[in-house]
Order: sequence, then C-alpha cells, then structure tokens
Amino acid sequence: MTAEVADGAILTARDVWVGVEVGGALKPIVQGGRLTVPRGGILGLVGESGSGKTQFVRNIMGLSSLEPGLMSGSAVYALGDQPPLDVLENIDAYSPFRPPTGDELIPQRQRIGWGWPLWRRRFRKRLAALRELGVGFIFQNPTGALNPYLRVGQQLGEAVAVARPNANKAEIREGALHWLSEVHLKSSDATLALYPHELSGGMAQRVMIALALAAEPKFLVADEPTTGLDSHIRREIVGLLHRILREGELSGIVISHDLPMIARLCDRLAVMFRGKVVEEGPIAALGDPESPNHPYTRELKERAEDLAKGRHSMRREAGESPDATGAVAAAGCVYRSRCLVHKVGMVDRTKCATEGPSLVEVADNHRVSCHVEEIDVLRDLALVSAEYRAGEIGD
Amino acid sequence: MSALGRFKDGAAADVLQTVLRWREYDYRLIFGSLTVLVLVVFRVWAIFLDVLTMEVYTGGSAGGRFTASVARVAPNCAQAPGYLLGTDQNARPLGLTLVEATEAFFEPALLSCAIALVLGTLLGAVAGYFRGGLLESGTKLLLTVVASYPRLILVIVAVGIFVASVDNPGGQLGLRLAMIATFLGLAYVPTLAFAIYQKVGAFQREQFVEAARAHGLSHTRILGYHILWANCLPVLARHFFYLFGYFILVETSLSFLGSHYGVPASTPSWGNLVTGCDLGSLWAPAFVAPAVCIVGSILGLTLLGDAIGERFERRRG
Repeated sequence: MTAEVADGAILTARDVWVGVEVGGALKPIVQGGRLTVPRGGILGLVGESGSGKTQFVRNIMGLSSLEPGLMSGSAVYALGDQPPLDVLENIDAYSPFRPPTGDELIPQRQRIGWGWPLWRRRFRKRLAALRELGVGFIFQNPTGALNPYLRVGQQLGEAVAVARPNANKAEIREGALHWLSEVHLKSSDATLALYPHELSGGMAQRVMIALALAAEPKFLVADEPTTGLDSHIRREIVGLLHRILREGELSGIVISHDLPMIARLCDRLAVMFRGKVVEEGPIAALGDPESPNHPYTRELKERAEDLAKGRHSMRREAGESPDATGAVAAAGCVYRSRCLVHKVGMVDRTKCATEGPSLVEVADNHRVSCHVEEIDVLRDLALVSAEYRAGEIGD
Repeated sequence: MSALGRFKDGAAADVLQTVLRWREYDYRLIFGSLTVLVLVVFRVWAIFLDVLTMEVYTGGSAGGRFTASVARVAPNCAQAPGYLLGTDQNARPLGLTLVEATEAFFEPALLSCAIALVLGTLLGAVAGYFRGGLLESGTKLLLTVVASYPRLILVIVAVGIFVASVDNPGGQLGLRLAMIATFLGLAYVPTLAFAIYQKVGAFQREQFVEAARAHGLSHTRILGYHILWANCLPVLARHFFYLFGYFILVETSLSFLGSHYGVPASTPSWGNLVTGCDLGSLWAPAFVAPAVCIVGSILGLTLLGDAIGERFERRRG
C-alpha cells in the first residue's frame, strides 16, 4: 500500500488506529485518526482528557513501546531533502489486530506469525532515520521525563552530543549552556549541576524544552507544555514556545486543552473526541463565529468563553454526563449524546445512531465530521446554542 | 587544577562525592568502611608476610639450593607481635595467621563478585529491557532453574565433583579457590539478575526512558547509562558487598567441613582456625579471634553495602 502524502505537508497521518489489549479484548484508543501538518506550520491538537490525543501523536512518532496491540495506518514524514518516510509502513501485516472493516465495530484479531520481531527491528531503524531528520518532543510531565539520578548538565549534554556527535567535552558544555540561555534559564555551571528534584515546575519545563531543542529538530511536538503551571509561568512558557517556533521556523504539533494557547501558537487545528478526529482546519476557523464548526468544537469554545467570563456550568444539560471521556466502539456518531445539533433535531437522528460520519470538506482545507446536510447549520451554531440556552428551542 | 578539581565533572565524580559525603553520622558507613580498611590492610600485610617468608635461592658453584626463609632466620620470633594472641592449633602465631588467612577469600571473593555482577547485570538488564519476547522468557527460565537449588548446596556439590575429578586437589589451592569463587558467582547470578530485571523492568516504563528514546539515544546508552549506571547502582553496591561477605561465609563453612571441600588444613583460613572449637574450650582465643573476624567482617560488609546503596538512592531527593 502506498502511503498518501498531502501536498506541501511535513507530516501526513492517515487511518491511524491505536488500541491496547485488556484481558484478551481490545480497547480502541484512537480510531482512524488523521491529521496533516503543513511545512512550516504548527498544528494544534485539542480535545478533552482521554480523547486519545497523546496516544495518537506518540504512535505516529514511534514513542510507544510496541507491545503487541493494535496499531495501524500510515504516518509519512517529508523532512528535508530525503524521500518521504512512513514510520508505520506495513504495520497492518504484523499487528496482532487489524482495523474493523465493513460492519465490524471493533478491531479483529489476526495471525501475525514470526515476522513481528523483524518488523520491530525495521521500525527501530526507521525511527533512527526519523531522529536523524530532526524530530523533538516536549513531554507533558517534565519532572517525570527527566532522569531523577542525572544532573541537568549530564542530560542536556547527551542531547547536544546526539546532535553533534563529533563535539568535544568543552563544546558539549558550551552547547548545554547555550540552550539554557535560550530557554531563559541562568546559564551557569550551578544550573547544570542541579538534579531534577531541585528544579521548580517552570524550570523543569524549560529544561525539557531545552532538551528537545538541543537535538536541533525541524519538527517539534509539545504535549501539554503548560499543564500544572501557574498562570504567570504558563504565559512565559507560551511566549517562549512562540518565539522558538517562529524564530526557528519549525513545524510541529502542540497538544493542549488550552484554546487561547493553541490560538496563539498554531496555524491549524485538529479536534479529537473519544478517539476520533472530528474537525481539522485552519486556526482562523476557531475564532471566526461565521465559520462552520463541529458542534464539539463549538462546545469547547463556549466552555472556554464561559470560563473566562466566570459563567461556568450554566448549561441546561448539567444533569447529563458531559464529562464522560474515553474512546467508545459503537455504531453511529460518538458525539451524538452531547450534540446540540442532534438535540434540536437539525440532523437525521437515525443516521447519527447508525452511521459514523466521515470528514467532509466544508471550506478550503477545512473538514468536519458531521451528518448535517446543510453546512449553514454548522455556521449558525452560535445562534442555535444561544437559543438553546435561552430555552427557545429544545429536545 | 587540583587532583580533586579534575574530578568535579562526570559520573565517576558523582559517585565519589556521594560516598564521601559524611554530612551526618552513619554508624553503618563508619563500621563498614573500617571493616573494609582492616580487610585491605590484612591482605596487603599478608602479601608482605609472604614476601618475608619467601625462600631465598642461593646460586653457587656447588649447585644452587633453597635456603631458609628471611623470617625463619630472624632471631627470637616468639616475641613478635603475631604471638600476642597466642598460637593456633598448629602452633603458628594466631595474629599473623588471621592476617594470612585473608588470602583464602580476598581475591576469590572479588572474582566471585565480578562473575555475579557481570553475568547477573547482563542477563537481568537484557531480560528486563527487551520484554515480551523469547529473550525474556528464555532468560527467566534459565535463572529460575539455577535459583531453585540452594546456593551453598550447589557449591558443595560442584566442589565435590571437582575434587573427585582431579588427581592432587590438595596441591592446587589457587585453582580450588577459583573454582569455589566461580561456582558461587554463578550460583548467585539468578539473585542479582532478578533484582536487576525487576528494577530495569520498572524503569523501562518510566517516562524519562521514553524521553531519552525521543531525544535519539541508542538502546545501549539508555540501558547502560540511564538505567543501569544512574539508577541501578544502589542494587549493584548492595549485592557486591553482600556477596563479598557471603563468600567469606561460604569459604569458612567449606573449610570447616574439612579439607575435602574447603582449603587444606595446613593453609591459613578463618574456617580452618575455628575447626575443632567443639573439642576444646569455646572461649579460647584460638577460636574466638577468628569467629570475631568472620562475624565482624560479614556484618561490616553488609552494613556498608546497605549504607552506600541508601546514599545513592538519596541523590534522587
């Protein structure tokens, strides 16, 4: 199977399935995920906790431990002058599960034979090639992502040595100090001599960013880089990331719940809900009230606005379970139980209950996964939502 | 730059500084360090005694021959400090015999530790890091089979087979000690390998390992430096000192059992010195002194391993 590569894209991921085996049964985490990162662009990946954002990105970057489970699809990187590299090439033939086809709802077990270890070896080689092309990762929990027994200088020095294999000890130290100053940390031997437990949350996050940058990547992934930080430090980290991404002309993915941060850092947006990408489009679509959005994206926006205005939980459906998370393997649209369009009857409810919607192009480079026949319904969601809240329209 | 200044950077300096950080009173570290110091002094002293008692070859036209040793020609040796504790059962000065006895376990114990540490670390690390494959299940099966036999019994059987298979076992002391060390080292491999296996397996799922992988480090670097060197040193330190002490116990036990298993009765050994304590007075210096040496050194080594392991762990904060 030849992997699809989008025009001008640095990363094209298609039909990515990720699952874990629990007690002999497979629990899907990402169901047919797709995203495109344009060259020189930053993609924001948003969604609630448990929607599969991190697992999706970890798998297309090859960071999963590859224990036998489900993983399929393609993730093609077109970095530099090298030919495109699909890190998941041929994985369908070796995974112990295959994605569902036809009427199947959950992935099915298949024979994988003795070729699995060979595929793992090939996979590691492809990942090594990917690292050489230049890929960096900023982890969600910086304290956990730093080796607790090694000093900051030792860890930073290693990352510098990977990028510059011929550097001597003095050059490595110089490189480590340089990256410390780049992330606005005190560039001194005293900082290099600190252990991770001696760092504050903000300092640890800056060290994490320095570690990712020390490998001199062309493609950077930041997984919830401001989680657990106070508002002041969060603003500083966002500013720092903004400067680094723009000055370094990097491409990348920013995973977050923080919509204002996504709006500041990213050019494009992908929204995930229960393991599925429900919307993918330009970031301008997030701020434009006239733009057609998926009802879930609209919900996220309204929740963020409510939170900013101190009007949290003024919704009529408070008695339901709006915060239920996690992937579900069921027929129909995964969002329908919370969908405003579904509630007010502006969509064929039978179709919502029986068929899973596919991504439909609603504007140039903007796709939404919804069964509505009239795109204008998605444009008017703000109005519909206001009327619904006011009780003018209902179930 | 001073000698200490040169050690300021680097992982070796880290370890050195951790061990030397005497910021608080720790009886285990002090007692254990003194034990190691005494053992090392005894061993060096024993080498020195060997040199003193080495027979001197005199050449000459009448044909060369070995003359009496240097020590034997020293006058009035009965007044020497070695006799302060009296004599052992073979009328040798007890003090000096205790010192000389270190040759029966010191180097063999190091050999045993080297075998166990290298093989145990290798097997445990590989099985723990590359989980979910034939490598892991095969290694675990092998280790479980070896671990199912009690270590001392395994060594006794192996030494018994070895002694029965050579013509003059009494005349090959060095070889016999090397065999005991090898057997004990091999018998100890499963204990260490399982400890490393569990530790590596736990760390392998930690996020810093994934982060190291994401930063482009090789498996060898991650396993060797990030997991084993940075995180498993406490385990290795504990097992090194424990096994060193355990070898002393095994050597004395085998020597106590008789010449067929341990070192020959004519060779100084703490185990040989306590042989026959049930026949005479239990509190005679000839028995008490070696017993104190055995108990004290094993206790000191175990406490030192524990203290050093704890100090390494404390670096995590």
